Amino acid sequence: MKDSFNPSIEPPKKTVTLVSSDGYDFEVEEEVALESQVIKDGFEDKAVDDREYLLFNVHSDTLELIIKYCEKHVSSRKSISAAAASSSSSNGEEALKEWDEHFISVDTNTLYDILMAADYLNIKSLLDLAIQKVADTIHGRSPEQIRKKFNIENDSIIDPWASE
Amino acid sequence: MVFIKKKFLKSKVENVEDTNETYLLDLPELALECILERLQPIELCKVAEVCKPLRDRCWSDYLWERHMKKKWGGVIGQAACREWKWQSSMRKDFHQKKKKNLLKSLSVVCSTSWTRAKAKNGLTLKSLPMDSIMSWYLCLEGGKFWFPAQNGHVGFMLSCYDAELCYDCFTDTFQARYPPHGPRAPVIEQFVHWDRIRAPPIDNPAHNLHASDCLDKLHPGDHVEIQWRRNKEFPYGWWYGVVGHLETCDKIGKSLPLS
Repeated sequence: MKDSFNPSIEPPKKTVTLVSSDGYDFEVEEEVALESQVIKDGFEDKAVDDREYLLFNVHSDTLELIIKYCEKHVSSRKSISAAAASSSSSNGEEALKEWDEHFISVDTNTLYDILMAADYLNIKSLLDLAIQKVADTIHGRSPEQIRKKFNIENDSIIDPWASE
Repeated sequence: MVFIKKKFLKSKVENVEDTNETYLLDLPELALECILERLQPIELCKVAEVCKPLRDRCWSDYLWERHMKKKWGGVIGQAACREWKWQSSMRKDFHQKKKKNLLKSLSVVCSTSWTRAKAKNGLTLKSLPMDSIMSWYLCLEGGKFWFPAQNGHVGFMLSCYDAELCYDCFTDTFQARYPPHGPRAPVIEQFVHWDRIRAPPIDNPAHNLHASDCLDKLHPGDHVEIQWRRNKEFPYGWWYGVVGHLETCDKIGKSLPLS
């Protein structure tokens, strides 16, 4: 939205390449990739022209979502701090929360994939979001409904409360 | 979108076979733990019934410690802990003996068929360990455990007395059983609210005088609690007060002994 805020000092965007487990290349801005603590940790040791990361555990479908999430968070952070600097009122944080909520409203398998990828790439805010979503999904469900929702087989345990 | 799909190494068709569904239990251990940490007691109980691996996780003391502290930390003191440990060890002994006898008689009658059936159905005699924190929490919540604590006096909220309490989850209040006060029979009070109950600040039986070790450090203005009882047949109660002065004073009814 505020791309033309100060174009004169905007340096050319540096990019890195993320390769999904099924062989797709994703070229993303450096700052977007750095949302992952794992990438950040080894970033300085890598040569500038060799910034390619093979993500063996992340499928392209999931990686696409993960990148979408990181991009949104990077851009929102910028607009929130820009609004704070110009002391103009902003509901950026609330809007981002709403966006997150919408983003994570996916089917169970996609939710698992996002959670595993966020864990593998160590993106704490996304991991938190996915974990909370799983916990919220359990809320208000019976054991049978939980089994159904999370693909868990009934191994016919005895009722622990019937023991006394 | 800033990213671009540049190349494509393998045929995407190959991945169609790769439709393995993930299961809750396949999630990284730490993530699963974080999920369970965010569940309320009632949800933990439900998840414990889902399958065996989840049950073992949901029963862990680690998960229940936080709930125990949050809900019961303010009213459960050392005496209540001792009482619980004693009661649960008694029940454990009783159940172990019962189980042993049951197994003995079964093994005589139908040893092989029993073992086979057990293996086939995956049934287990394992039930919620009685000395687990979850078991304690559920006993408290279900009103199955009377515990010693202190209860603020209705007429004079700056005093409190030792009582045995039992929770009622439907009214979210307690029943209080007071020890006999003199010749009077033990009294039971209903609907005692949370804000009238506390864990005893010191571990001291109601009929014993507590020997304070900080009397010489008292200053005017300090907030104190003193023990008081009508006569030797009554238990001590705790009365709240503020130290006015430390000199001997003969104003009737204005000063109370500090010990």
